[in-house]
Amino acid sequence: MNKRRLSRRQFLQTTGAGLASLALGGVSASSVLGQGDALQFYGWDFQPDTIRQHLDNYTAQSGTPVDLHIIPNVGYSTGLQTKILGGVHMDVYYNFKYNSTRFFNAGWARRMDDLPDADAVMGEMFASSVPSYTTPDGQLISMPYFSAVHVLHYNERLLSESGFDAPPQTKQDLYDQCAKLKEDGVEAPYLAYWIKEFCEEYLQVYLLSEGITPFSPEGEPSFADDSRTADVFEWWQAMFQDGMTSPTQLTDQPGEQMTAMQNGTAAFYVLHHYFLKLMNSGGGPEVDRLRIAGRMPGSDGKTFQMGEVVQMSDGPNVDRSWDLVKFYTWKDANGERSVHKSWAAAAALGAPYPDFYDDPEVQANYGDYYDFEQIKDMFANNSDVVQARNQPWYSEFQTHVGDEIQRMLQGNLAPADAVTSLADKVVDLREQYS
Amino acid sequence: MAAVQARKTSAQERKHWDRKWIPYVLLAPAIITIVVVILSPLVTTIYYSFSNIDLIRDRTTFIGFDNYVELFSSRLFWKAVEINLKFAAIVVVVPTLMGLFFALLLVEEFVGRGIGRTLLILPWALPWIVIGLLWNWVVHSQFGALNGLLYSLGLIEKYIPFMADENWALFFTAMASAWRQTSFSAILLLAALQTIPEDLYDAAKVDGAGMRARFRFITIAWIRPTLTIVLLYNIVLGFLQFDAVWVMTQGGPGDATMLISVLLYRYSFINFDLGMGAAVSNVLGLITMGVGLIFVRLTYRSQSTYS
Repeated sequence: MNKRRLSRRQFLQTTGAGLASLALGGVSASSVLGQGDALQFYGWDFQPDTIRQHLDNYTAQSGTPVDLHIIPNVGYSTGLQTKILGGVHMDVYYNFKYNSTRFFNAGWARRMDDLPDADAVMGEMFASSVPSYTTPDGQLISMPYFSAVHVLHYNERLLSESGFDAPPQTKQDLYDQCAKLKEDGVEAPYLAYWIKEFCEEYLQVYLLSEGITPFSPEGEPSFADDSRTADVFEWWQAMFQDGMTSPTQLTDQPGEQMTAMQNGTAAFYVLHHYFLKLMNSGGGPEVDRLRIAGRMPGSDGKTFQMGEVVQMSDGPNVDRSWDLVKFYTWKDANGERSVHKSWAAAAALGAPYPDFYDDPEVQANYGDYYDFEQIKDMFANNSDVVQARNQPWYSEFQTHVGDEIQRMLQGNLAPADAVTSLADKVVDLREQYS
Repeated sequence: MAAVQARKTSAQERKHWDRKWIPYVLLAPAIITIVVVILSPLVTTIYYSFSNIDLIRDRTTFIGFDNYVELFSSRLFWKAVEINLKFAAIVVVVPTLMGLFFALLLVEEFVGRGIGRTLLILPWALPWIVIGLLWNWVVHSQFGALNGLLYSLGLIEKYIPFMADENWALFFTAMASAWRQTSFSAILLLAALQTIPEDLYDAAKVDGAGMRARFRFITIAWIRPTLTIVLLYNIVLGFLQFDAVWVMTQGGPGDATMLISVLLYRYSFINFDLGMGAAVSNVLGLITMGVGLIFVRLTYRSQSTYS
């Protein structure tokens, strides 16, 4: 038998060449993937199978294949930005609203108001929602992935047993009802998602409900010039310090809070309107008694309209990308809001289009525990998007709000000082970013 | 003849070349790897810490020590240093002592030792994110296992909202880290304990050494190098832990668990202020290195005292 001995050097040469060719093959393959016919779609990992289904539907309708890339929720912004800076091309991607102007200014997102149907898209939205997707000078830079309004969920039975026949109308009412409920054995009457990251949303909710303008469209801190802001902060601190909320509210997650509402150990819950559906789907002894109040407690009763967005990049794929964006955030080729409807079925996510809430399919998916006229009214007349949230400095402000509000709630910062600290931060950031 | 001579010279020249250059060629992959993977990011981070990096306009401006001045004058930074020192104390002491305890236990022969050793590995095999989620449930104010246990033992009358209290929040985030690190420490120490020759203990017994003396002068003396490594690992984790804390509290409530690493993440990846992020990162690196060096020095100094 002719046995050929393989020397160490030959082995290294052979395997080295093999590995090199594999690596080069990989590189060229990935390059081809990046520049091929398929559009590159990036999203966070909320129901990735549903996203895939939507994209498959789009491909079936348009013939354009779409590659889906999922980045984990935690660190999504970071992941997205790192990839873009690293030269990864993405045609269409989810984004957080507070990043939309930053991405637009950086040239990573394209304006869309010059593309076909853009006027129709904006014309069909609630007028109150449009500033959420535009720059102060009116350029459309993003489209709605979903929209929601912050609402006051309440347990009708618990309120009634404590002698209240209607949800609170003012913040003082809310405090008083909580105090009575607590006296009657409801341990933590008022729940809200006051973790650091979300304190800023509540800042908007509480200011708007008192008729305070939080910011000018350009981002000047109007809240600091309104003496009622300090009153709102004092109420906020009292709610936590006087035990009207759960003591772990500063770190609790919605899962735990929903359970408390489902079991009747809490009576009020302020968060996005789709949480009523989530609580109903989850079951529990109290779900049939959960309602949404038509207005947020406060002298004005207004609430905050939030949502996240889809943006698209510039480049040779603009027409096809825009077609996909329209499919995903507006209507499909048959004129149906099929993607938004699907999200409504999956998680009761809303859309900023009035006709969406009139659709029988949407109504069936949401459930008969929703009052659709009420939700539409909140979107149309009783909510604000706070356009300043699109400013490039806003995420940094958001972090500061989380720190300062939690300090205030714990009694380590006076409400008046918290107002000053937030206003100073805005001034400082606007100067830095100018 | 001349041809033979020429071949000989050529072979000698090649041999000379080989001797001179082959070491460099062989070292090159390692050196390139070190430069690319360690030195280059290190130098870049140091440079970034002296810069203002504008990602949007893709512009980097040298600003001297401004980032460090801003950092050292920030209330949050000093708070984070204070909190991190407390956090690190727990993450160094608890896993080292508990790891040693479990290693000493599992080096002995008893029925079920195999199961014990398998269980020991489990926490180490879990990702930090899972550890954070798991401990969130352990200390939960309504459904937590710890509250359930204390309640069923009759030690508390109603469930305690541990994570609402600043001290408990810090303690339990540190304990979540310590839990996994105990497993890792025990595995290393168990391996070291298994290498101690039995003769040493026999000889010490003959010389009249008691249990405490045998533990101090044989067990501890023998595993000291491993113990130093364990300590060093725990110190590094005490200052660089991020994942579990982020999952459990995001630095809250208030500033209660605002570790330097959380601050670093916020500067770099929420505010996208890479200059400040780099400055925090360098300070954190220096603190970790400094504390680590002190511990190693102390450990080896006491070793030389013995020898």
